[in-house]
Amino acid sequence: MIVLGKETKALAMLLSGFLLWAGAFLLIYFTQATGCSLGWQEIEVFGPLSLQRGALIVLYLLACGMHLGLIYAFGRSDTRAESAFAHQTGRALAFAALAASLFCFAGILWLTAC
Amino acid sequence: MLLGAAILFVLVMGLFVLTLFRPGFGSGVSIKGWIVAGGLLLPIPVLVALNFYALFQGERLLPGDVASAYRIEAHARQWQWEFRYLDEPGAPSTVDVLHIPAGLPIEVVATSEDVIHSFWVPRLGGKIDATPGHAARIRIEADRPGIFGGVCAEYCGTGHSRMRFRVEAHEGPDFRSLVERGFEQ
Ligand SMILES: [Cu+2]
Repeated sequence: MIVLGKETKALAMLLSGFLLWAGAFLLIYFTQATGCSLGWQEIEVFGPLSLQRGALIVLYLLACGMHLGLIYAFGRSDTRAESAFAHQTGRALAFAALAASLFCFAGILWLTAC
Repeated sequence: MLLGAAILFVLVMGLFVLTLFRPGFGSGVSIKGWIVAGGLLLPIPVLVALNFYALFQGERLLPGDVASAYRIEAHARQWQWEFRYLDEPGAPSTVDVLHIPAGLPIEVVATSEDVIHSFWVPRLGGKIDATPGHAARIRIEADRPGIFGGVCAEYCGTGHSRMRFRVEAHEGPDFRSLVERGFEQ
């Protein structure tokens, strides 16, 4: 395991939520473009659900799960050991990032896939 | 859209001017109150509304029922547009002028020969990137005959600013005879 310095750890706490959002954004955008290029919207996997939308929904749920995991990690970590400000702010940002992911990526549920 | 922007501008500038000329104005609301009201309550509904408006507009620009639309290929290269009339076998292509029938949905298939360009006729709808190796589709429609300006909306080299074109929408029969004349006007 990597041992982080106090400042690095504070920075990581502040950035974690929206780095996760940015990573999810890249992955979803990448999958959307690749799936359309490969014609995944024409392949039905589960009733009317296409492989394209199915794959995007899996990523959406995965991203939300990781956001929840991050929030859980903030709840468990020892606040006294680190900067209280970084911890508090990082935790608030983790919630904001979850809300951002839920809202920003919800389009994959109802918008035309390609 | 312009009205909404004007209202917000007047509101923000009004508050700003009041703080300048009426010392103590706004002190009745706590700092936190101002941050929540001005930073969250004001912009979030506006941005959410704009977001959904844009998404619905985006859905409308999609090709939709492909079979019924009139198809044209907009082939971009540095620095001109070549329009090919896919539904008119034998018709010549036109350069920097796109002829379309008015009152009919047109499916534009945007392709590129070299770099990324972007097809955009502001009066007729949204824009779409013309990417080498891809065929991107967008739907435009002119309600009535007329001439509409178009530009390349993605920077594509030193000739980018000159990469303009125009769309001429004609009445159905006029368009037909124009096609038969090979677009000679
Ligand atoms: Cu161009």
